[in-house]
Amino acid sequence: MSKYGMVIDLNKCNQCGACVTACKLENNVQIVSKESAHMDRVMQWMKLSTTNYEGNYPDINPVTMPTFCAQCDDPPCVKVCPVRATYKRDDGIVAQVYPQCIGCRYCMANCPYTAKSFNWYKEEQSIEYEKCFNPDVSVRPKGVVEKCTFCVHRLQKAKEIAATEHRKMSEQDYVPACAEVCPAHAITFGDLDDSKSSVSKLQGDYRKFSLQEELGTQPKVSYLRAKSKS
Amino acid sequence: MFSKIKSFFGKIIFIQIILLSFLWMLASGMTLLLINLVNVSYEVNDHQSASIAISILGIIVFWVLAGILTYVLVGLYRGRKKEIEI
Amino acid sequence: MNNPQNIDEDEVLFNPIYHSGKGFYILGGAMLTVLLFGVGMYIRQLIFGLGETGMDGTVSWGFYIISFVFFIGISHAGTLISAILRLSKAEWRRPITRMAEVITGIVLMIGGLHPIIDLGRPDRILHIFQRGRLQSPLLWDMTSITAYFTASTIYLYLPLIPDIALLRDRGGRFHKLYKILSWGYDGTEKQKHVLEKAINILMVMVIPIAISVHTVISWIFSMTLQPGWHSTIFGPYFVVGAIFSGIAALIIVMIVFRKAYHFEDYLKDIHFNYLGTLLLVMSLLWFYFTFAEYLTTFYGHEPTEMRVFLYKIIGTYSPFFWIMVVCNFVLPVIILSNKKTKTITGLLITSIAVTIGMWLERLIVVVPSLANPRLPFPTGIYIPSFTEISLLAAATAAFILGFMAFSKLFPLISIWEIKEGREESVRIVSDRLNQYLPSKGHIKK
Repeated sequence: MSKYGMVIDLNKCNQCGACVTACKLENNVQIVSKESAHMDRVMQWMKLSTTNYEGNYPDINPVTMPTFCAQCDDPPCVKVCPVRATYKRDDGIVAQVYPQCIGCRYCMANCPYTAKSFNWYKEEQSIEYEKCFNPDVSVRPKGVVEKCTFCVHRLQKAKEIAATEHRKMSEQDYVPACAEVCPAHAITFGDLDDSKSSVSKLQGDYRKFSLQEELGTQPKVSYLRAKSKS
Repeated sequence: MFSKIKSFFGKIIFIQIILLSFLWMLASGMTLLLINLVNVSYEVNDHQSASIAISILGIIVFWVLAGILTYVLVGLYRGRKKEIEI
Repeated sequence: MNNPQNIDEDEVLFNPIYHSGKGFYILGGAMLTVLLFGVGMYIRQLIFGLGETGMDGTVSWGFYIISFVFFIGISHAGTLISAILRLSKAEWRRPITRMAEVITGIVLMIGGLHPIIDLGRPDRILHIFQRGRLQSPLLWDMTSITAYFTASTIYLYLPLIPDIALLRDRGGRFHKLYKILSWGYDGTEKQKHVLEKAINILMVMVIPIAISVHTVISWIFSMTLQPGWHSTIFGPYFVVGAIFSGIAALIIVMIVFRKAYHFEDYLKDIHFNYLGTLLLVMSLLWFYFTFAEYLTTFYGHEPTEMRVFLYKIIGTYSPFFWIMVVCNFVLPVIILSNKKTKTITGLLITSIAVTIGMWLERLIVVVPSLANPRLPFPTGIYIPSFTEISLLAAATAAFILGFMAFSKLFPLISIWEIKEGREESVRIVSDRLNQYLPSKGHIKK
């Protein structure tokens, strides 16, 4: 069985935000109005979180890192969901069934990564955005919770293509949108169970860390610490 | 006397029994629900032990409650003075 | 069947059922307006979505969950207090138990509704029945609240039967209803025996159920990994807070109805005195739990926990925190430990303060933990919207309306228990006393 995971090299990451944009477009994530954004209701599955500031005033550079659903192997959100709207697939992806979600937001309260977004309103999207909706991903109604799914629809597609071509899925077949667009090739994605995959090889890297490993959630998304600049 | 009992059955006891049956419906409904949920927990590979523990507790509580009320109401009905018209 | 003796003795207690003053209609109308407005706001929220509230991506639970915890907490007034007083054979319980039980019934209905108001998709509520997962604390809650509601309704109903029979014998309004509900009770020995037995079983049963309810509610929070929530003390802490706020609500209700329905003869200073002592004890107990909870957090000095701690103590929520401490601890201790201020007015002030303080306590439990998540990159703010405030007002109005409606249907003070007390208490209590008083002058050989 495969177990998908991701490693983000923060040394390569130049904080361009392409992954954030790609994620939003790929998954039809709602663009909220200015008022909602001011209320901290921005919907982003992947976001650049400012962790630190470099330099002295006024030449300050924010240091950011992409944070999103860590795809825990022991997910706290799944534990508490009262209706099994969020669940862990056999391939390790923590998925969300939008038509099943009752919107109690218990998973949001229990997510140590604050990675889930809630559809507070169903807001009107601009025509330009609606035109480029991805047909493979459902558009969520108001009142449900959503989050990063490792672009699971791409996996579905890749599996089917591989099956019709009578071959095994290769590493390049299934790559989430963020990893695909990253111009610095900072995001490595692959099968953690396959010892030959590039993501498995990075697991032993001395710079590797995961967010809040100490909680025992066993996140499948990990990072490579940036090398100090000195 | 007989006609009185007959009219009694015609009217109030009927409503009373319906009211009481609501409680039994609740108890059996909760039982069915909890059994269903235990089934679901097997289906989706949840922690079944927790589900079973909760459902055992829940089912017992509801049945005991329904039992108590039935005991009281039957007891009251039996214990009333026969000559009093209800 | 009208017994003239009956009319004389406890007519005051029957009076509110048959006569309503002008104030009743005015208050009822006002409360109904507030309630209907709240319903309207809820419908608005249904149409537009939960965005109508002040909750946001980080603080995903707000007023509704706070009200849920608060109202369910108040429900402990009732059944628990009345069951404990009955169990300990406290004779002064007689005029109090009924009101306490009514509080439980009404407040459970209101509190139980709040999680549904809080849902983003209430239309999908049936998914819980079809594909619910019993391992989620929300389902534990659903089960225990349903059980508690059933138990406390039965526990309210059983001691009500003899009173319903009294009302039935008087005839008049709702004659048929009383006939149905009284199940032919007319005070024969067998009926009394059956009723007493059932009440005895129930009052033992209701105590663990009541405690389980609030423990399970606290587990909704403490089962998560959030800083400030993940605490083992939460179960008993919430139960103590619940009983505390319950007693306060009970005292408020008693004082209000004493004034409105002229129950001065039944609810005497001594009742308030005893309840005041109980409130003081609970206040100290609450402070002990709060102190234990916060001291361990502070001493451990874990960074994530400390962020929440500081947010509460000196940060954004510090005004609420310190108001809570004043309302729940300083004020009750000052007022209730002084004989001069431990009057009915003093008690009313304390009880209102405690009710507000306990509501703030729920606020302080729910919001700061969510506003300071473990991953601190987004920290949240929470400002309740008008919708949430009006729904809180509507919930309060529903509580008042429920009480008013109940007082027009059934007596608010258990008449038969008062009568029984008048006839038998003195004998029973003196018998009991004689049992445990040591006899004089006997030397064991």
